[in-house]
Amino acid sequence: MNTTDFDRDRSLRAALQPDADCPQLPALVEAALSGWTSADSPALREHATGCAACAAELDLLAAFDGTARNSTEGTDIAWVAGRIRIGAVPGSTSAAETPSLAKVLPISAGRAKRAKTHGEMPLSRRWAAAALVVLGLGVAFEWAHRNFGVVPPSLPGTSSSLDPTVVRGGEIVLESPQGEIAAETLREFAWRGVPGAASYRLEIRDVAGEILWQGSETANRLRVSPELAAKLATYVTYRWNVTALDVAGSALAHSATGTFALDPSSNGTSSGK
Amino acid sequence: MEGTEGVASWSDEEIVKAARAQPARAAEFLDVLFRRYQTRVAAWCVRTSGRREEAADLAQEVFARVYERLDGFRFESSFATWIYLVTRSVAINRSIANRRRDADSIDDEFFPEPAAPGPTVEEEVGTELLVRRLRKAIATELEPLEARVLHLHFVDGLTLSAVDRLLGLENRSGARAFIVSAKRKLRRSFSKLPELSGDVS
Repeated sequence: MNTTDFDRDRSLRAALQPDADCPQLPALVEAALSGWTSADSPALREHATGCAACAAELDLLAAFDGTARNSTEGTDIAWVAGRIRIGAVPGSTSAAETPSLAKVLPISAGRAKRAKTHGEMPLSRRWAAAALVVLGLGVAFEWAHRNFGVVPPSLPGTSSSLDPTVVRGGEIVLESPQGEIAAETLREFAWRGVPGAASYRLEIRDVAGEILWQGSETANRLRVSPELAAKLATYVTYRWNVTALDVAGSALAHSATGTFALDPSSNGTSSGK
Repeated sequence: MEGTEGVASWSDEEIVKAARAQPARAAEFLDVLFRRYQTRVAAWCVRTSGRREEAADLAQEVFARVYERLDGFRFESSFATWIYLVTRSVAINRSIANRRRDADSIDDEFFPEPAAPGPTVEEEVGTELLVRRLRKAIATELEPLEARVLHLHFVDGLTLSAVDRLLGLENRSGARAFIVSAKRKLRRSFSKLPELSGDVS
C-alpha cells in the first residue's frame, strides 16, 4: 500500500466522520442508555435514524449489554469477565490486603501466569539469579573488550564519544499539548526552541502511525488552523514530534514523541465525537 | 465485605461520592461499582475484539484506565455513560493502532480507483472537495447498513469479523460483502460525474 492509497482511505474515513449536525457523543450515549426518556431524546433518535455515523455509534453502544445472545458468546463473556482483576485477589483474605490499583493493572492471561510462577520463587533466589546475570554480562564484556576492542556505549546525553555531526534525539522539549485535554483548549502546539534552528517541522500522526498533518514554522509554536482542528477527532490519541532544521533544511535536532487526546468531557462543553 | 452491605442498593454516582468521601474505604466501594460493569465491559470487548484473549486484555486495560481516570468523573453524565465512553475510547485507540495488522482487512481495496495513470483524484480536485463528494454519495447512494458497516470498519477500526459479530450479519461474506457493494456504488456514483473539477456540492 503506497502513500496515495492511504490518502484515498483517509478521504473515505474523513467523509464518514460525524458532521456538524451530529450531537455530542456523550449526549447521544446518555440518551440511549437512559432508554430515550430525556427531553431531547426524540430529536436525537430521529437524527440517528438518518445518520450513518450516529447509527454506527448506537450499534457499538448496543454491544454494551451483558446479556449473551447465544451460548458461545455467553461462554466467552464469562471467560473474559472472570479474568478481569477487580475484586479481592484469590488467596487474600480481605480486599484491604491488596492495593486496589494492583487489582486493576493490565495483566494478560499469559503474563499473569508468568507472574504467578515468578512469585513462587523466594526473594533470595531471585537476587542470586540477578547477581549471576550481572556478573556474567561483566565477564563477557571484559572478554570482548580485550579480544575485539569493544568500546563501552555512552550514556544518552554524553557527547565525548559521539560524532558531532550526528543528530541527537530529545533536544527539543515539547511543551503542549500533552495528555488528555479539553478539545476547545487546543489553540497551538508549543515547544522549546534550539539554537541555530532556522525553522521547525511539525508532524502529527494518528495511533496507526499515519501522518495526519505536517507543517513548518519559524517560531517555536504553531497555531492550530481550522483545517487542522477539523482533522482531530476526540477520544483518539495522537502523536506529534518536532524537528529543528538549519537554513539548508538539514535536521539539527529532534524532539521526543509527545501524545495528546482531545476529551470533550473535560469540561462538558466541547463538541464532536 | 464488611460495612458495605447496603452499598448494593446505592446508585453508581452515590458510590463514587462515597469512595471520594472515605478514601480509606474507596477500594471497597469501587469494587462494588466495578463489579456492576464487569460483565457489560466484558461483553462489549468480546463483541468488538477478534479473539477472547484479546478481549480479556482489552477489558483489563479498560478497568485500568477507568481507575486512572476516575478522578476526572464530574457527574456531568451518568457513570454508565462515562464508563462506556472510556471503554470505547480505549478500544478504538487500540483498533486504529492495529488496523494495519488486521489479517482480514480489505483496506487494499482502495477508493476511488484511478481512471488512468497520472494525477490522482485528490491532486485534481483537492481532498476537501473529494470528501464533500464522498459524503454526499454515502448519504444518497448507500443503504443505511452499508454506511454503518463502512463507518465501523474504516472509522472505528473494527475488524470485519467484529463488524459481523456486532451487527449479527449472517450473509455468506458478512461485512466484506457490504463494503465491496458500498465501494462499487460509490465508484459508480463518481463515474457519473461529468467533470471532477466542477462543483458538485
